[in-house]
Amino acid sequence: MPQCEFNLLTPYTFSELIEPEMTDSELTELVRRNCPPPEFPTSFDRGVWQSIAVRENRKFSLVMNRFIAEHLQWLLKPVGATAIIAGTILVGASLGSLTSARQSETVLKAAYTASINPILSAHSSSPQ
Amino acid sequence: MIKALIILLAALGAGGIAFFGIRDSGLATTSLRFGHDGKSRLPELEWLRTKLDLNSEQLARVTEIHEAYRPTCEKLCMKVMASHTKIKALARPETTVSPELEEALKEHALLHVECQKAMLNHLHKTASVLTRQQAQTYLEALLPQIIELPLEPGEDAHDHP
Repeated sequence: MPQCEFNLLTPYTFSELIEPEMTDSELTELVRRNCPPPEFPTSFDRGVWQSIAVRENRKFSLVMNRFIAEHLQWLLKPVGATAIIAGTILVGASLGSLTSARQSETVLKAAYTASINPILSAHSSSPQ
Repeated sequence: MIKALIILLAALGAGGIAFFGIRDSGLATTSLRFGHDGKSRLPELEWLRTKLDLNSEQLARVTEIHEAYRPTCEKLCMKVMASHTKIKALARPETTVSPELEEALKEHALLHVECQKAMLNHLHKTASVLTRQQAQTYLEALLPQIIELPLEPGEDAHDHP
């Protein structure tokens, strides 16, 4: 009985073993005997996952390219680039100014509170 | 694609630099103004001046009250420090609460109350030279810290005419 190698199981080889009068169960048995479960190399799983990852990356890259082409194309024009840079500077400066004002108020309030609170003053004057 | 991403990252970087630059320069200005103003004798009153938008007359009265309170505050501060030293000395070698330590803790608690009383008197004296709205803002900002309890929302801290 020829041993069924995974890659030798061509329709032609297999058809030679089949007899016309075989029943379904005989056919199933033939397949079972001649095609034992294939033994995969240990690296098979890793290889499959690597292939999936490559596909996913390609997909991500394609999606990114499409997104940029559809929505960020204007960035490549001088007006668009200038506008986005000016916009982020404006937003950054506004937030910085707001944060600075809040923190300044906290610092000044803490200084006033310390100046009228003997308990706080004693804590800050005490050697650790 | 790369070029668009570079522009986007450059824009975000510029925004970040603007944020930190403005924030830090603002804080540096505050420290400078607070530390070495030279114009103000009492830089700790800067918060009051800006927060309550005091006019020159009010600022002069507040400064006067603040200066008058200073000796009391310093005296209490010295007492608190002495009390801390005493408690530390008594607590260190003991494994149990000795009668002396208990007495020192009681004295410390009484001193704490004395400090709170002095601060509350000072707050109300300062508030008395402010307008109703200013006094309310002032007391709402400071009372919770002095009484060490938060005020209930909507509670009126202002109770003087």
